[in-house]
Amino acid sequence: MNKKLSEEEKLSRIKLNSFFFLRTDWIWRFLDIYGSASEILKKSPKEIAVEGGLSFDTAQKLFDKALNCRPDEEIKLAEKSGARLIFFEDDEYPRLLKEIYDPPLMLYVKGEIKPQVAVAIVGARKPTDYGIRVCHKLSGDIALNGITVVSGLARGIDSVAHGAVVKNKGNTLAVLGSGLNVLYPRENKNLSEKIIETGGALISEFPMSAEPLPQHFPRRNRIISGLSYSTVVIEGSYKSGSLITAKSALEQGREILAVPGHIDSEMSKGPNKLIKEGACVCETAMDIILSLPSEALGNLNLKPKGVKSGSDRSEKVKIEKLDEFEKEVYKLIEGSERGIAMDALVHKIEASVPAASSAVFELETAGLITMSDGKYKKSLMSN
Amino acid sequence: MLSKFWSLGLKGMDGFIVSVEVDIASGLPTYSVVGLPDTPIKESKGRVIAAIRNSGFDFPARKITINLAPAEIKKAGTHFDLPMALGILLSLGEINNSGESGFSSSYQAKKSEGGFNLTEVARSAGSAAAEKIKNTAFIGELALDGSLRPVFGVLPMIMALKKKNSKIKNIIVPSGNSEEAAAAKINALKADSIKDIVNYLNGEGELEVCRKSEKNEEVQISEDFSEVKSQAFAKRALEIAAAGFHNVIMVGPPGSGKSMLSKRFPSILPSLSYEECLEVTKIYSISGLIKSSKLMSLRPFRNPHHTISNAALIGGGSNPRPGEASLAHYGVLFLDEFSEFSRAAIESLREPLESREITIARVKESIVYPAKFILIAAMNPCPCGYLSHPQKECACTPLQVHKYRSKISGPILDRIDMHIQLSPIKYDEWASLPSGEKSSDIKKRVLGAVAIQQKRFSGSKTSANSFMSISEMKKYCKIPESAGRILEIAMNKMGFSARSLDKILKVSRTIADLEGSEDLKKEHIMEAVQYRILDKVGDMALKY
Repeated sequence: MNKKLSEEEKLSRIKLNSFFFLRTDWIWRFLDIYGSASEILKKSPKEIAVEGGLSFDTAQKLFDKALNCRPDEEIKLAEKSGARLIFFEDDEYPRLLKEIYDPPLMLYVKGEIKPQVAVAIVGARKPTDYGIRVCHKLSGDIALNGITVVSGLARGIDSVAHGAVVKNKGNTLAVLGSGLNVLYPRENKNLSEKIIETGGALISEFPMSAEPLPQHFPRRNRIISGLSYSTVVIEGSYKSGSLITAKSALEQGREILAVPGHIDSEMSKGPNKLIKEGACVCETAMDIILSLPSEALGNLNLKPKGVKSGSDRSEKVKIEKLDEFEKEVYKLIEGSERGIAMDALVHKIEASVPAASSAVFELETAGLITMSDGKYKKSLMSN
Repeated sequence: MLSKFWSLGLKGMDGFIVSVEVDIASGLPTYSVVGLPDTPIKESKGRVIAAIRNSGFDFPARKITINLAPAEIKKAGTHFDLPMALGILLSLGEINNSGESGFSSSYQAKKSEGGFNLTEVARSAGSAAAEKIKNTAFIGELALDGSLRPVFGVLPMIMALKKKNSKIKNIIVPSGNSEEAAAAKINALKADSIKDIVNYLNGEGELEVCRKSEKNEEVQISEDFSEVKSQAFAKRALEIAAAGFHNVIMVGPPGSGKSMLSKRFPSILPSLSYEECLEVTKIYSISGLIKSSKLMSLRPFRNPHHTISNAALIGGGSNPRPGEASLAHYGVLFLDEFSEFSRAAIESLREPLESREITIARVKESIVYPAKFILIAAMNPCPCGYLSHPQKECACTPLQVHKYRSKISGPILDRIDMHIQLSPIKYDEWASLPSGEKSSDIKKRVLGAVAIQQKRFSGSKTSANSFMSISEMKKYCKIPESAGRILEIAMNKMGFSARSLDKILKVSRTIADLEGSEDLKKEHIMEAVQYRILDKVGDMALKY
């Protein structure tokens, strides 16, 4: 299948790809039967239906869609927004993705896909503070070790993972559930630009202007796991999309890791279930690195020190600089599960509001704690 | 026959003198009022005729023309009933007004120039009555039986008589308005019916002087801060707000005590000065909200419902009336469920929060109402209310939370000095907590800080720290050397805007005043920073 595609075939493939309601493995089957996309489109819907085993309605829809599709415009649209099309037969098409059962016919890519060692980090859209903290640390640490982090640019864990990598000037791939021209969620526009700036890429199998429909996301998830050697799940409920990604990773024969959580938290249900079913427990970046096959390890820029959290020491230094009262306040904040409000703080340490305020300010500016929604919590920076 | 009485009109917050001229001539019986009267004035015909008849006088079947001068200013209100009825009675000769009347002498000149013929009126006029009519203004609404009903806006109207160049020194008001008139400290008489006034003018009876009621019961605020357990942070914030007249927004889940704290807020505010009382009473008088016609001695506390219209909040209408923002003048405007208010209503607060007054512009006039209030806004952290709740899970998506919060726009947030977050207390903790500090103790500290500010700003328009101008801030909020670094960190690490820094400095100034400290210290600024939670950008570690 490594022959180059002709221009005409490419245009036909784009047409075929516009019918993304059909599973890709069916389309591959047709390609096997007829030899090329151009051939498929030459047939009548009835023929396809009979020979391919499709219902007539579906075949008709496929043809309507393909006829309405204007591949040249699609290419123009992509060029205009700085994206390009990578076909399955192209060299640039990620090798790992080629190995899966139903690889996309083609990918729209904005940015660069280098040969790389990739690990998927996925998780809840509404993570807890614990999830955010762990995700930030793990993503940052593996990025420092030269691993590319793949995720879905969704809210929550996905965004934190991308953000942590970008911050460490690492490489990250974001696989979208919509066309590249329809960025979703919109608040991640900045982040998506940063991802490209730091050498990563936005990837989508959907036509440029496809809307982010719910049924796109499970499809998108198979690409996330397909691109990666391992998939790490951080938080997610039973019904979470992260479990779909884990499932497709399993189908693709890839490694699955899960970050264990509190058993009483809704967000821990997903990863804990995975662990019960045999997923590796992931506590540190080292766990992820150890999950990689030996062929991948050679390409990494391993930093044994970086694997242990490098900022541990700086946190200790920062704490040593604090005075007794501030240390006490920090201890209290550090020990609080979901953050602590000023009222409770004042009440527990039996100090005045002004005194507590000063202490909190010092801690905050030292980067040890942070405040959100009126609650003081341990900062990710101190992690 | 012509007669003239003084009365008063109201334009915005200011009264002006109106002369009510009545002419009775022979011709087809008509009754017309000219001089831009509004509907209640036009309708006075029915009340005036009935009141005159039922007071035992005859009403003439003649051509009656009433002019309210100056004729180009719009006049509103029912209080012109009394001077109009008196004018008719004077023209009819029911009021004994013989000899030289002050007013007719002023018309003598006109007469010699071929003006109207006043000789008849002048002849029948008694000099005593003429003198009274010359220096007295009359206001009051008539009932059909000739008795007088209280009217709105008495205090602001009377204030027009206190101007230096006013020749009119006395006023006669309905008995129901006597307390308000007494508050103006002017020679005010009260009357129960038109008959009483006619008798008084004819020298056949006396009218009582308006007096302040003896029983000046100090109204006690029943809610006290000692009933609020814990919430030390919020209480401290409110103490600072009261001392420096700072606006506050409270964010917290249901049951965290936002309303409870706000209701107790007036109990720590300093009491109103006499001038402030007068100004507040004026606004309430115009709106007809004065209870038992007393001077408003307590700071107003207004808490309009969130469905309030724009006009009701800031004032307006074709006949402009003060809105809740002005009714809260020198007091508290408490907006519970702040983000449920319509966006337009919230945005309309920008002007009063900045200039501390409200200008209502109409084609013909523009009116300025004062609006120096402390805004206390309260809102939930998210639509379901439970974000950051210690036990309950929040069910909102980040987008919903974002939309909910973005209803409070940046410019509004910028104008609110202090943001605080509240969290509910668990019951088991609550039971074991000691009761809080008494309002009276907090008030003592507040009064101390207020005294310092009064001394500092004497001779300036500014009355409190929150109103400081840029130049005053430079003068009084000198940043201590050790704190320069703090502010820089605050700017960079916490993402504060320059405007929030101003607010931080103003709040620090108040904190220093509460402590009695002349200079701003590092600790003051550090504390003030904690009251800007909605400005902070969150965990900097998550930024890239």
